[in-house]
Amino acid sequence: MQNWDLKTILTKLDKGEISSVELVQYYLDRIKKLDKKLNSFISLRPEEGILKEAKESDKQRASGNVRKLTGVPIGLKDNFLAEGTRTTAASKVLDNFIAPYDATAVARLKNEGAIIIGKLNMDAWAHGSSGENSDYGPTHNPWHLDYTPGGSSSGPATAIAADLVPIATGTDTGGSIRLPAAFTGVVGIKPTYGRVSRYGIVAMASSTDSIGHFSKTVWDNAYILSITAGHDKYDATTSKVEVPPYHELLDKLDPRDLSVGIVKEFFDENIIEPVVLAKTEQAIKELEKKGATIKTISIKNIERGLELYYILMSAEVASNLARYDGIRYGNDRTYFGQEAKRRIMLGTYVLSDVIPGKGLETTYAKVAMARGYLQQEFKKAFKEVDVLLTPVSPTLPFKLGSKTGDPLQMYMSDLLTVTFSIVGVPGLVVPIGTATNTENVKLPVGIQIIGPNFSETLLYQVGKLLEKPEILNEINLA
Amino acid sequence: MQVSDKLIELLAKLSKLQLSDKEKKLYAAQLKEIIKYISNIKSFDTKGAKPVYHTNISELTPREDRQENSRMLSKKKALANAKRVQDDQFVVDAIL
Repeated sequence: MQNWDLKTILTKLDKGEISSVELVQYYLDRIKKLDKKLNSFISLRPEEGILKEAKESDKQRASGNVRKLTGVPIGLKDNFLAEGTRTTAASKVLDNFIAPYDATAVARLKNEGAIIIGKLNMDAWAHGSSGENSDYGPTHNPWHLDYTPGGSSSGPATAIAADLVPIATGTDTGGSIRLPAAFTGVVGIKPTYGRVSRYGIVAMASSTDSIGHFSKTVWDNAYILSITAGHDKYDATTSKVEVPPYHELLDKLDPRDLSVGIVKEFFDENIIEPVVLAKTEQAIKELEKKGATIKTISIKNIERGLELYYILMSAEVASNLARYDGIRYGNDRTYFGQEAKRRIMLGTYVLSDVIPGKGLETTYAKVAMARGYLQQEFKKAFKEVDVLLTPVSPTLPFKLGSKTGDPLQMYMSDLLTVTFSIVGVPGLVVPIGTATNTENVKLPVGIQIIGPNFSETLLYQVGKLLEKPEILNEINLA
Repeated sequence: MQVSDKLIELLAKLSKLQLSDKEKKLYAAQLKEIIKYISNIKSFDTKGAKPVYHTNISELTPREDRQENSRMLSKKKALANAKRVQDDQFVVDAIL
């Protein structure tokens, strides 16, 4: 059963080759066996309830009542509200919070018959790039336990790579799906801002928060997005743009019709580790061999997204976290961890106009201007090419503990992902192979595919041409 | 930009955070470095750009402002996560 992707699981359930009870039991056993060392889950739902739902799903299937995910186990990042589940966002502030309702994305997955196994680890409040800011301990990379799986969606990415669930949800505000997808060798989508409802998901920075998914393959990911995407009256930013059956369109692209932009600012050997650069360039060559046109382009100021991001994100974080006072739910503000406090302080600095000597230059308003500038630059770029390809992270996964003392160094991990979040465009990360680091540890490498707003179909099509999901078989957790 | 103890205390007060002396010292050093980095934005030439606060503002579709019974929490559910409850109400500290 090991490493079955969702498509395989659905086929086997359909043919009656496996039951949902057997499937759920397989994952529960694996979690029991492996998650002590990985720490990818914060909370598991009671086994009894899960197995009861699986039995019910098998009955439904037998009677011909089959929905898109009947009997399929899923994991949720712990900032997704699912009624009756403990939802901590990995912060002790919400240590005892039981969600009173379902997030829209969760409701849509449940309506299709998915079974929630548990809630997955993350950096507290989704603040981080390594999972180490979790108040429930760091998650360990299944490729090598001394390494970070990336963050903030450390648990979801790890659970997919280690085969603890076939599908997991995530959130991406500045790279929190894409970075851990790359660091664990799985597929992760950050859809266009407004593609998936944020209703019922703990807010981080509201103007870039995007809801997405982790899976083993592009097909699986496309299938799940076709379920969760679409307008929701409870989130005014969700778009009414039609949601296509992404998974049915994967083979509809002739690579010879595709033009790919290589953003030269993101292929700078001064900022990207040589092995990452080499692997990325190799994947691009393979795409060129299939007929795609490759064009080097320049997007002015693209590398400056990080400084904009840390102004606008911290301001929105300070504002969003102001509501946590421990009165109606949760604990009081003394329970915030180090990183949350740091970001609240920084955001308060950005938003405050009572600080002597503070110029107007670092305010939210200046960022809005720069954001407008970058959006124009991106519009120009997408007139020249269909998609952009870039590395996901400047480095291979790094060791746990190696950057925790230096927040600015940690923030640099997001250098290649944040600018796209600021502009709002979608990004897909797929695994393209493995590389060996200086300590002779084999680690995965992903590639980032970026397109204009609502181009998820195209991203998945390109992702299908590039993905190497078989690398997950190289993980050895025994 | 100098990040003085006074500034850290002001930010903590505005943020409603209680910081230990050790935290104040740590944040003063770290914020100094981070503020220096984000201050690079001063040299970002935004000439000709229009401000963007929201990436697809044209799509914003607010819902009708009316009560929806299907989405209302029961009193029991709404109070379930509160630490201090009295007579079916949240208890807060006196503010006057």
